[in-house]
Amino acid sequence: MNLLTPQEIAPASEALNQTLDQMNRMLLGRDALHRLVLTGILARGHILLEGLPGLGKTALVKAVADILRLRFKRIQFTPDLMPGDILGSHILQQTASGARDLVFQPGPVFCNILLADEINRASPKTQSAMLETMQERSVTLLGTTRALPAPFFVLASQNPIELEGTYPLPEAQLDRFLFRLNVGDLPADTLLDILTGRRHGTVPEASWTLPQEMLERCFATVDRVALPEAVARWIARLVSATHPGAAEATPRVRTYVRYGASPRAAIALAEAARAAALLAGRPSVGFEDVKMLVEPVLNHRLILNYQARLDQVTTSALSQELAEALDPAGMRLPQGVEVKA
Amino acid sequence: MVGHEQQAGAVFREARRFQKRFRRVLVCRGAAAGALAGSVGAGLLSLAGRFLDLPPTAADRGLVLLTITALAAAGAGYAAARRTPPQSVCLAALDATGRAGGLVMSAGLPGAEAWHPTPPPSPRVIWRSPRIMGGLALSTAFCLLTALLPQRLFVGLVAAGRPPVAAVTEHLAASVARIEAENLLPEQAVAAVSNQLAAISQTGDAADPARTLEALDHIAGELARAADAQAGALAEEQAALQSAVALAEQLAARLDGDTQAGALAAAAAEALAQYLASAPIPAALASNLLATALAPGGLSPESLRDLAGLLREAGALNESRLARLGELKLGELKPGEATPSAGCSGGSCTNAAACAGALARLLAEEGPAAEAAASLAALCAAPGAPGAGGVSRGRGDAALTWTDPSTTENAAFKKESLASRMPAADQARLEGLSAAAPEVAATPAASGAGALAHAAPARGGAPQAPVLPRHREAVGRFFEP
Repeated sequence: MNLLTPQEIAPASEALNQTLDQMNRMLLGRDALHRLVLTGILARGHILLEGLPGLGKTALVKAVADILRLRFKRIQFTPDLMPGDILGSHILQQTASGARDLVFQPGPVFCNILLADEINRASPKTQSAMLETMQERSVTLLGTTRALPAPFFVLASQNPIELEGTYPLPEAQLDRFLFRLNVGDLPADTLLDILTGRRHGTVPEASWTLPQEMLERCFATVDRVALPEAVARWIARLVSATHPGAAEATPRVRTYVRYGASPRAAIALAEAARAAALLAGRPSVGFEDVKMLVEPVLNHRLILNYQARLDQVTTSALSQELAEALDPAGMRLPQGVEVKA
Repeated sequence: MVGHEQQAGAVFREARRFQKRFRRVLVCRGAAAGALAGSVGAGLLSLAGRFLDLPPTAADRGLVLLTITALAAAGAGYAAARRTPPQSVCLAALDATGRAGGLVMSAGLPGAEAWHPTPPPSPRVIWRSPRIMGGLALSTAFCLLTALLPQRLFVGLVAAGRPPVAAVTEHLAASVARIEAENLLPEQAVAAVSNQLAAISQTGDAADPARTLEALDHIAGELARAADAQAGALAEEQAALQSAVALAEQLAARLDGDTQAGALAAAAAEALAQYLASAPIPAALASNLLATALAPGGLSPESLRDLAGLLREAGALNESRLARLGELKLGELKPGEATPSAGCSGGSCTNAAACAGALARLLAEEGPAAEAAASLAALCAAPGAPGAGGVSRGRGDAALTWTDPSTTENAAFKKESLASRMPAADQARLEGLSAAAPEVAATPAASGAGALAHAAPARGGAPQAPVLPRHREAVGRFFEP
């Protein structure tokens, strides 16, 4: 396999950096979050945004859709939302010849970017309707499978408080999200910028948009980013070490983790690392790309035990500790030997 | 691929440099760990050698220690060198420490030359192992101690760990059997010693070998004394036989040239009879010789020469017995000397001579006070002198008695008063004296339960139980004679 040349990477990298600049211009103070969101989109993964109300989750998704010029739909998930409300349904219609026929009326899921707002407020039945769309990117109704438009991303949001009347996402659905990103608070300086520069906090229009063909080119370029064997081995070791019974599991993983991450996590980590490398303008994945993505990829895939809740141990902390503890090169250093730059 | 490797030569060279550096650290660490293990093992071997008194000199011990440690270090270093990571892993380490974003790892791929991968500086390999180095220092000190400490510190333990009871018993038994077979000592003495030896062989206590050795010492001493006595007797007999031979030959020569042979022969026969009767020759031999000399033909030069020949034969037999007695070396059968400190246990000594010898040797080796050592050794060796006995046992040269152990029957026990709720008699206190009868309460308390529930309290008398009318007949029958 040939490495991408600088000439091949440069247009994609430049376009992506411009996209990133646009996102940073539209939404202030979220540079790291924007990079992760763009990484997730490049990796063609779904993203779960978690944060308190009013932090700009919906605005972020709208901004991404504007910049990428993708068809955007928003569904506000409520307890009485039904699968048909998302996927679409068959409606009895009279044809031109006067006969009556069941005609499929596509739901809002037939779009490029679907914002599933407060996804945990929908019933498990409705949440399950999203499984096929997220994994196979298709909808099957009455025995007919219809492909969703490409690209297709679900950017879901959920509120970590006000849990009354919500349905926690099942593990199977959580596993289908590439990242779970925490939308945190903004610093005072950023808030001041918003107050002084944005009337009513209105997000400005995108001054530059990414052409559709350039987005497809970016996707094609991501696929050609090299994943060195050592990095792949480290990803495999990382994911394997999330299981309490694994040989390389850390003592805290053995103590607090009930179930580790799935193979899908390893695949997601590798794909996301490729996207991160492209964003950084490199033709190959480095250990630092993986290290940056370990926490958002693994934090919703580890299932902790009650002891962890008691000791207030979080999945984010555990996954970061794991990335620090495992030697990337796998040198199996003997006791007392260190390798330092 | 070769072309790519040439282009990325700098990266691979750096990786090889790092690999060599890492291998060097691994080898050093492995060698140190191996030396630690080897020196501990060698030290233990050296310790065992000291207990077994092998090898004899400190230089030999040092050589063995050094060889074992060096071999262990070399082996462990070689094994550690084989664990050196391959070049791909070294490239990954370079990439990780240099944050090269995978470009160093991908340096060998086609197309990498366009990215001009520059090798990051080779990372440092740091080895911090206070445990290994500390352990190595301790084990080295242990080795040096085991090699350089004087042998006398190990002698006591060596002797305690090597009980020669069986060997000495076998040696003694073999000597006794040979004495019995060749009739070298009087039968009675040999039978007594043989019985004692058999008893020791059966009842010798392995838990207390010093006690058995003491008994063996006595047996060896008895054998030596019997041998000495027998040798003395044989020597006297030999001298007498030689005198008798000379006398017989002189008489024969005198009778050959004398014309008055008849009278001379009679006088010679009488003198010879007197000599043989008084000489320390076994009675049976003397009577046989006399019978030969006083044969019916009378004493003649021929008969005298025959007598001299018989006497020479008896002398040769005596010499042979003396030689065989000497071969047995019964005077050297001293188990305590074979193991100088075998008789020493818990501060008591059962072999004063051996201890005195060992002490003299020790003091002579230790310094210039050889004269003081010799006088002290002589003092210890003297009978009844210090060192010839102990707190728990008698002197080593005391006579051995073969009796049953004393019984503990009818032994007096130590008086001990048992705990009691009543005060002891010696703790009693006088409250007062009265000549009147003991006072009894005017209204004694009635019993409240049991068989005396309804008994009327008596004023100092026995309780009176009422007998119901229906029981009176039965009670009356009970008291009828």
